Amino acid sequence: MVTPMRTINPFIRPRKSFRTRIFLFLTLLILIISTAFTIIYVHHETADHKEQLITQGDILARLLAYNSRLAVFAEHADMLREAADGILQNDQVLSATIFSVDGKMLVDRSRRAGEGSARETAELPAVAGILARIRENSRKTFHVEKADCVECFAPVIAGPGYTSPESLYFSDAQAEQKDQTIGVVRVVLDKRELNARLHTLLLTGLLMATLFLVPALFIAYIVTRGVTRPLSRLMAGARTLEQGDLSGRIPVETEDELGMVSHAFNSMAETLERREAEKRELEEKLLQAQQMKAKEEWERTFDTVPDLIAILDEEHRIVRVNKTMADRLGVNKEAAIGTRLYPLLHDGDCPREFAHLSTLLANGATYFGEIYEEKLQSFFLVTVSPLLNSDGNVTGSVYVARDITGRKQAEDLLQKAEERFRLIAETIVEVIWMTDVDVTQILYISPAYAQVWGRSLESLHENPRSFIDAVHPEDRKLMLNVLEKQKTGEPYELEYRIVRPDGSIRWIWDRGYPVREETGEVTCYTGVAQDITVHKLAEEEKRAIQAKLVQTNKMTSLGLLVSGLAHEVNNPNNNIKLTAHLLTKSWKDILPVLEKQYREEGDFTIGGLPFPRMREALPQHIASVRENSRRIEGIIRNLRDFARKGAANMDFAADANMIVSVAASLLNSQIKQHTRHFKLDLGEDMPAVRGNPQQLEQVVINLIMNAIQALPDKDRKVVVSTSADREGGFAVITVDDEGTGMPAEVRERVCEPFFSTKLDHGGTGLGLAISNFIIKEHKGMLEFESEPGKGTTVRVKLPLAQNA
Amino acid sequence: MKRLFLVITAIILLGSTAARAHDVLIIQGLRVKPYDEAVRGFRSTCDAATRRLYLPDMEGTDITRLIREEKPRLILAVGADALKKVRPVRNVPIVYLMVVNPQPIVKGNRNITGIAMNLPPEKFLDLVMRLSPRPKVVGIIYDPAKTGQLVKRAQQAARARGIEIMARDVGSPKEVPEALNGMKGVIDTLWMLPDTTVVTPETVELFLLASQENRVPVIAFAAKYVEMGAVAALDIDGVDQGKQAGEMAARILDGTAVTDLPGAEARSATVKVNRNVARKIGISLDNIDRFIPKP
Repeated sequence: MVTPMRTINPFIRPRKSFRTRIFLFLTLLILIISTAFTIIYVHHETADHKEQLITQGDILARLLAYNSRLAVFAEHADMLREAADGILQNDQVLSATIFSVDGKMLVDRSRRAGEGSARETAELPAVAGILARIRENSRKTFHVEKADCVECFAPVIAGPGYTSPESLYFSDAQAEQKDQTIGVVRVVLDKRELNARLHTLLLTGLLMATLFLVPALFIAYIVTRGVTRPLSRLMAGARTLEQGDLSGRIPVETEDELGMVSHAFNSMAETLERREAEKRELEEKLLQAQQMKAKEEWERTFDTVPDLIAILDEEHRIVRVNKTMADRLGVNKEAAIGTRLYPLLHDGDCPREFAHLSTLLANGATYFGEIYEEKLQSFFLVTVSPLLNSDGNVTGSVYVARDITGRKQAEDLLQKAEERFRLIAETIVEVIWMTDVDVTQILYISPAYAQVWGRSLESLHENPRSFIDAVHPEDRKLMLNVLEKQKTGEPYELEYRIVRPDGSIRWIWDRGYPVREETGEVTCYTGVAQDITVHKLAEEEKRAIQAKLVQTNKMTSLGLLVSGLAHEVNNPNNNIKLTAHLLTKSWKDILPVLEKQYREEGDFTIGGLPFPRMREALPQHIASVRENSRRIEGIIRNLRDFARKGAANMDFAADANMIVSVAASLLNSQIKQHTRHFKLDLGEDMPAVRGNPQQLEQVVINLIMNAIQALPDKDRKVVVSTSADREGGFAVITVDDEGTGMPAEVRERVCEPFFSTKLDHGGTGLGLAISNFIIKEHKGMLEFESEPGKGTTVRVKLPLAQNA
Repeated sequence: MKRLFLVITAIILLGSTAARAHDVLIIQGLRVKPYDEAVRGFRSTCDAATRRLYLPDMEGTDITRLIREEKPRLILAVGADALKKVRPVRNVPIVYLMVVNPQPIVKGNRNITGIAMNLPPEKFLDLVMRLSPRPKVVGIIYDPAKTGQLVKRAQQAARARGIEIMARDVGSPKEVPEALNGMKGVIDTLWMLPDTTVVTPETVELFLLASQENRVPVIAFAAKYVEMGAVAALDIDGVDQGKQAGEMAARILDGTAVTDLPGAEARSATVKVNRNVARKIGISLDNIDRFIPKP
């Protein structure tokens, strides 16, 4: 219905005007209203017809239900058929069916013969459901609409039975008893006629709507045109206004709303015209006022600026100066106008720096520079900018001078201070440094670095972490710890060694301090590194001296101890010696008696041993006592000599070979306990050495004892040899063993008194100390050569007697 | 709420009892016109003070207790329901009224007596004989379990009058159409008995349809069937039955032992006729008119 409108409407213009929109709106409204009316009409009529049909069906079903009541009760086939046929007399009824209450079909009569049985089989299940509903809800009719028919159901209701004999008598005693559904009837009504009627109805509705539309649209067009004609005129007037012509007016034809609008439009145009004139006047006034105010403000600014400003013409004449400049030059601001600027500035008669202005006048370039004006005794930062006219030609210049004397002075002071600092930093031998917190950048390092570290400053700047490489490997961990600590912002102090490229080691005392911002955040570190190698060496020497002092003291105490001990031991030892002598003599006297006894009376025991063995052993035992006692006496004497220091008599010519032999024989039994390979390799034709043979014997005993005690088993060798170096003037006694050997730290300390690796096994730590002392007394040397696991070689070098 | 209401009702009842004593307590089963008429008849012959209670109003009330409190000298039970309710009471004489077949309820309780609503079959047979001067076969459809006794009495009485009774027994209303069909052409009068199995709204219509089709008159036991299409009915006379019971009650109140007054049947009845039906069937009512008082 809508599409034809576009083609038949000749008034549609390409641009949708107000008129078109109104017309389209009206058309749409009419269309919607007519469509809505048609739909409502058709819908209502359809519902009405359908309801009529259903009502008819209900009535017919109820009628059949009532009529067949007795027939259903009696299930009388003839009566049932009669009742059903009665309903079939109605033209619209297609079939009539009666069911018993349990769903059994009692009779089915249809208009078209033969159709009944087919329906019966097809529809029984559906009917069973409807029966169940009707049983639940007795007395109510019920209908089912299908495509071509309507099925109406009604219950067949029987009155209640009588419960007591009395109730048979009275009709009004039954009210409360319930009716009972005994069957259901179904009447099928033909819908085809209804559908045909509805079809006709729809066509009628559409026709009516179409007939209504044509005149309605025509009227709508007429009305639209009438309404919009004055509007078009208004629009034309408005367009004239829009183009700026405020004098146009619209003719007023009627006194209705549109006429009033035209009136209003005309008066509005008049008002607009008037307003426009007023507005233009006010704007001019405002502009003038603004210009005045701007000028005033500009002048005030010009005079308030602390810079010296002058506007000059091409001939260096002053067009205008500000108050600051006038004051500095000592001229009147107004009077200065027209005079040249350069005489005022520097008393000359020609421009000086205005040579720049001349350049400016030639090429339009702005000048910018610092100038000292002697007349004003100040430094100025001068800017001379060109003034251009509208053609771009230079007509003059703006001279601006800022007094920077104060700043200049400050800069000078700062420069001097910096110079001073540089001198300090570069002169002193301490290294002054400054780094960032992570030491990724060296902010400053004084030149002393190159002297102390032996590396160039450039290498450090290039690789700031390279100073860590210079740190002695043993101190590097310490240094890294400190650098880590530096991140927490604590000051530190550190002593470490550095290795210079030439391999020499220097001690550095380094102190670092955090530099903080006002917020407390650490921005960098600064500090001083000092070469303290000399201090360190002096300190070490001092320590050695102190150690020697301690040693001396220790020896003095030992001497006192030993002399006391010697005295205490000497007395009992003398007694033992004397007793041994006595025993020897006694044994000589006793022996003949005992032998006689043996010969005459036979064998007997002495001290658990048979006499013949004792006769051999006892003199040896006694000799041993005497010998050991003699050794004790010697040791005591040695100790006394040690304590007395050099009190022993050295002026003997001793045979080194003899000394070695005596010592070996004295130790014979001990040697046999420790090794099977003890060898003496004595040099032939040995020259005599100078010294005390007893003391030297003691030394060799000590050395042999140490050698054999160092052997882990009896298969290891100990070789004691003697040799002489006549040219060197000394003899050498060498004790060479294949024992366990000594590590370096033990080797360095073996000569210390009371140092012993054998404290657990009865060592006193005095043997080698005394030996060393004795050899030193003899002006000889005691040398050790040892390696753990490979044995030890001890050399005793003694000066020859002939040299002494 | 309901319990509270009952308590209040009981208090009111007891209170009124205390105020004045009644000789006769009437318990009426239904609020129907015939019962009201019967009570009216009772009051016309027994002038003792009475109090009437309706059974439908007393649902939930312990009637035996109420009677114990009320201490009436006699109870009148109107209707079978009322009689069933008061039957447990043994120490107060009970007179029943408007009960169709009282024997199964009374069961030999010696304090119960009354007037049965039934009319003796002889009276019906008399009516049959007046309708049709030469009756041969009277048809009866009955349920032996309900009206077997009555049918036996009727058969005896019929034999005495030279009438044959064709009785068909049925077990349910559905069998009634078949029984009716079987009698077609055989009987010349159909006698409807007050049998709840046989008489239902549908069967009544069948009876009357059969009556019209076969031109056989139907004799009924209540006036409402005459209105529906029976030719005549021997209707009960409620007022007279009330009077009958009133007389009985008066004698008991005067000291006669209940056992000396056995239960009786109604002594009178009213004949109702439908002249239109009679005309259509072609029956003369002349013999009857003589017995019916003109309205």
